Amino acid sequence: MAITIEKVDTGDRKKRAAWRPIALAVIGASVLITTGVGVFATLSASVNNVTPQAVNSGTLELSLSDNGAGFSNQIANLAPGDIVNRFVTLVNSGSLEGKDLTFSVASTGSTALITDGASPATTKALKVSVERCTIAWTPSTGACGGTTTTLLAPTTLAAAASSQNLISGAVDVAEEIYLLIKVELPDQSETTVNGVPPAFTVQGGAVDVTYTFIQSQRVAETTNS
Amino acid sequence: MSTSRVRHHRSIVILTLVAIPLLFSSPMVAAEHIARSQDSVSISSATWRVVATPENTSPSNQVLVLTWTVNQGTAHQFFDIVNVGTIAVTSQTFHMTNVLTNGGNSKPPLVTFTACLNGAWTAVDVCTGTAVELGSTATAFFSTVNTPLDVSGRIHVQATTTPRGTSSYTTTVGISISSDQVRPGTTISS
Repeated sequence: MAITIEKVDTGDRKKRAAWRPIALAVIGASVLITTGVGVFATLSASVNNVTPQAVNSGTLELSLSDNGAGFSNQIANLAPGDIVNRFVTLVNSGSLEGKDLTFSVASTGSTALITDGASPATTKALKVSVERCTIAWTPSTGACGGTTTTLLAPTTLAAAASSQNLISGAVDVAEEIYLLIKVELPDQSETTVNGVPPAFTVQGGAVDVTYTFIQSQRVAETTNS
Repeated sequence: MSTSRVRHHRSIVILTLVAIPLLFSSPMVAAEHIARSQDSVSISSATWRVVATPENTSPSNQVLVLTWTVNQGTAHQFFDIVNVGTIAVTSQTFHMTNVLTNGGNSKPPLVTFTACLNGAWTAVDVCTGTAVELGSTATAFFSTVNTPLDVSGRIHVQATTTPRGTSSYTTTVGISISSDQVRPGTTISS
């Protein structure tokens, strides 16, 4: 009995067969090119610096310290017209020059102390302002032995929530910025009758205030030397 | 679904997965390098509140009502003025009103209020400190008394009617404090 074996080629096999010569040609050409270059290379010279060049990145840091009571002690029992001066020192403590020092205030607590009252309320909220002295302030007297500059006029806590520009120019490395942060409850009229304050009152309020200072990195530089 | 379509969909998914992180990371790359420093402080405001309360009792935030029944003579009552706020006051404003309750007379009798400063009333008309007349009224009056009063401080007051026949009436005593009667604003550096 004769057995017939029929070989059936699929379409894929046909395609593979067609690519085989091309692949072989490419491989062969690669070998020739690689070995050919090696054959024609003759001499080369190289040099490198004996001492490795040291490259490091700078740091941008801003430190805050109390000068006197600073922000560490609460401000309690403010009456209309009261002003409390607190003193802090900022230092550009990194190795990079900074710029554009800004200030913002985040406040939580009694609304009447954060935002001026809207009609019919006539309450006046706490205001914060910032002054700078060229030398360190004397906390006990509030005196500046140098020259003072107003960096921020009295601003309600609500308004100071947005970033307020204090210094537009450069802040040098290790530069110390001596600041007076003034908090005041504006003078205002409010009458209590038989122990009951009016509907809109600044009395007995409390707020927690977080002061944030931010400086930006100096403009990036291209140095030729 | 054919093989080519599957591959096409896979390519789209891969491109999307690569593109999304790139889109979100781009602003971070462009963000400026900043340094931040912050600190917090708590701030609170004062209260200015003064009330009238029966003698040597705990104060409450309400009008004091004195009830009188006078029968052929004078009568006396004592009450305190207490600073229940958190700040000293320089003066107080009194609001006092007499109202007949039996309708027997055409008008209420005169009532005189006398404070015993830096002392207390030990008996009728006996003040261990300095007796100062605050004022008197037959119907209504208000008066500002320039007597400083520290936090939790008390001023002891004697109310006295004038001699008259039988009558019943009430006297209400209210006190108001405006911010002008609080110590002046001060500047404190520390």
